[in-house]
Amino acid sequence: MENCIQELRKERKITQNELADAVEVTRQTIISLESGRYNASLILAHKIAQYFDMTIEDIFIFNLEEENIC
Amino acid sequence: MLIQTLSQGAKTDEEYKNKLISGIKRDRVLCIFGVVTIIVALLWMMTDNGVQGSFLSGVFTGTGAVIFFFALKHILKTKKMLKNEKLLHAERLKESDERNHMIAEKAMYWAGVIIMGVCYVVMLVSGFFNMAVFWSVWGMVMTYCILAAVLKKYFEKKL
Repeated sequence: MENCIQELRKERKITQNELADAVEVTRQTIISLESGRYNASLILAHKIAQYFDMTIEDIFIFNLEEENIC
Repeated sequence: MLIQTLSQGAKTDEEYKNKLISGIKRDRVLCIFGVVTIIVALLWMMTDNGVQGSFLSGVFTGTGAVIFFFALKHILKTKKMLKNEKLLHAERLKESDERNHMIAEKAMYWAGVIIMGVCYVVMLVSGFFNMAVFWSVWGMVMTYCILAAVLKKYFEKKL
């Protein structure tokens, strides 16, 4: 699943450490999320969306083909 | 460490602090357990119990020492964390981090699968040479299979 966390973070001049602290995960988790190596849980996705004041769908791009759904 | 990661993480620093304080009590018990193991092994070493007894008392002394030192190390680390709020917060995040949980689960899953695969091969080969080894490994493989089936049923009902 793709996401635009890195773009949003850079746009708002937030460091990975600050975001990690705000959503209560480690910096490594943010790095993995940004590089697309790890998919966030629903709770974490919700926390990130709340932090950026956006919806989950705006941040996480769900690719139906990639997930073998269509 | 893997088990620690898999344990339920605390939601607040205060909750984590309480968890650490109760952890110190557990570590103190482990320290005593380690010392008792060393004393028993040393007493056993003094009696004449042959080569096997001598070897085993060495193994028990080593095991006791490892338990004692790791528990002591954990107590010291916990006390250091209790004095430093920043360190405590960082450690709580590390322990409750969902990615770390997933890594620990995957590591344990693959360790279990690989161990069982190795045990299965050892069981087949050992049957030709030593029946004691065969039955020991057979017991392990069967226990693993039964446990896996029981735990699957348990989690099917729980989740």
